[in-house]
Amino acid sequence: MVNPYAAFDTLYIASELTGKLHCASVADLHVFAYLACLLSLYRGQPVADWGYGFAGTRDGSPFSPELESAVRALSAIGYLHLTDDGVDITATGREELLALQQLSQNRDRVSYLEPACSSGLAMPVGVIHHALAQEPTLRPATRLAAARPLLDGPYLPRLYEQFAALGRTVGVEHQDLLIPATVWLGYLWRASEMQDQIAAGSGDPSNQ
Amino acid sequence: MTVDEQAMAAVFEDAFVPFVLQHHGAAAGSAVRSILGFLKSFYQHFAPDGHNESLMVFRVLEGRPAPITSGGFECTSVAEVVNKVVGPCAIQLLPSGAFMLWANCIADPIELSLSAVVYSFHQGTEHFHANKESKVIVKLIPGRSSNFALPTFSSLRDALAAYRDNMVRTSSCEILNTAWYEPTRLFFKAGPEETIRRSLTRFLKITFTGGAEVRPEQIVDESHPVDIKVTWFMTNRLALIEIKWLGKSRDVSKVKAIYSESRARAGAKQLADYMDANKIQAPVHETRGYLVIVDARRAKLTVGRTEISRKDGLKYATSEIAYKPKYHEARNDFDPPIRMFVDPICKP
Repeated sequence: MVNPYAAFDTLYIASELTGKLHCASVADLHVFAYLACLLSLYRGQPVADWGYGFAGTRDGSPFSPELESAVRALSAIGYLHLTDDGVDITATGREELLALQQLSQNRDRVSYLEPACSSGLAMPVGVIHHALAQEPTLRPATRLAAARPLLDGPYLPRLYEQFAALGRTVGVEHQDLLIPATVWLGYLWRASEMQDQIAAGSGDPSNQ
Repeated sequence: MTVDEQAMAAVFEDAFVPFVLQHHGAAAGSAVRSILGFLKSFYQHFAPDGHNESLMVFRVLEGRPAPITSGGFECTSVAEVVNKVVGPCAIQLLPSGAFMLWANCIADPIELSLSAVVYSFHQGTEHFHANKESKVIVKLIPGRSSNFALPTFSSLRDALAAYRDNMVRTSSCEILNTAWYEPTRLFFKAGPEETIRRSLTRFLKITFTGGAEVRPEQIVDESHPVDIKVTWFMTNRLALIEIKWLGKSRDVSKVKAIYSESRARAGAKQLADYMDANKIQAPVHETRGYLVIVDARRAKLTVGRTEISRKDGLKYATSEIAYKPKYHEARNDFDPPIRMFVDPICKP
């Protein structure tokens, strides 16, 4: 049984990324779905309301088993086209997406999915991948080199601390979630850069 | 990790999306998205690097008067716009999805910004303009003309080739540019490894879209730190990148290191050892090794020299390295080494 939320998100993100960025990989689907989920949390929605969960891979990437199942199922029935270069939505997939967008439960999701995907216009997708790896509940997966559930456990309060600071920084008057999305990703990207500089500074001098 | 609110405020201050919405209101959000979407398509066909004239792209806000009412040429596709760009240009994105182009037209972005969201590109500097205010767009890759014209690569080999051709050959990366002792790029400063590694890491992070994480200085085993490790998400693929530089480095008074062709061969051996060590550490991963040689060899280079002829400066420009053994032929996990020659600035 395919998770209906994951199926809708997969079709929506595939459509947006191929339309806006002209390319999308399966990894991108997970990243932008996770970013959309985080934006819903920023807006005060409970984690459980998203409809499906995410885990952090040991390489620091968000991964949703439900989304992965949806990609396989949608591909099998011809709504998605998977190639070596990535994923594309087919004409029948677009028709299905249009129909699903009429449902009120999905209209609410678009308010998070759309700014998440538009972030890919404002900054390179590579930057978004690397920035998200610094997200407080995802970062320990990389540091411990072990897969772990996201948006859960002792690191979750740190995420909410960041979101509180983000709200104070960008101001609550901004309704367009593209603003907190790009500012927060920019902040995490700088953290990623700083971490690399520290790693490089403590490198082994014998490697010269 | 505590929240650094000052750093967050600095990012907010630099960001162009909040700038536009602060000056034009929430309704400008769709105009910003339209402009960004257009730039993504436009720059796939139009290289801003070779365009010395100003380029403006604007979207009039709903209910506002059109700032340019005469002339112009309506285009129905981005390809048509690209074909008709001549001299300084202004491009209006119409609500219908079509475009109005004014070629050989010098428009004032500040004036346009009264009723529109405006993007401008002029001599490598990008701005957004809104309601008579301007915001410079901070460059993500120093040395690249536009943040929105960044090439993207799904193959690591293609990304390394682009780094060689666009960033290393003329040292156009500002990070790499700090590795030189003098502006003419004769000697490296002592210990340029970290700078070169940082330059390539940043380039790969931003342009490589293979669904992968790029990390510098990664430990393969207890005694083997490799320069850069690329880990593909959701697959079992890994790439180890070893960087070696050739040429001379110096400090104020003397040459600190001299590395010739044998250094490249030693690097190949080192990488082969890393690959073997990695097999023990990550046995389930399919790993591939990449040897990057940043080649700054010059002929007849002594400490007293501050300039160089073309003959001496470019002597090694096409001098490929003979590897013994040829790991890239003997092993199936070793990519052909990629040599990146850096041109010095030669005296005329």
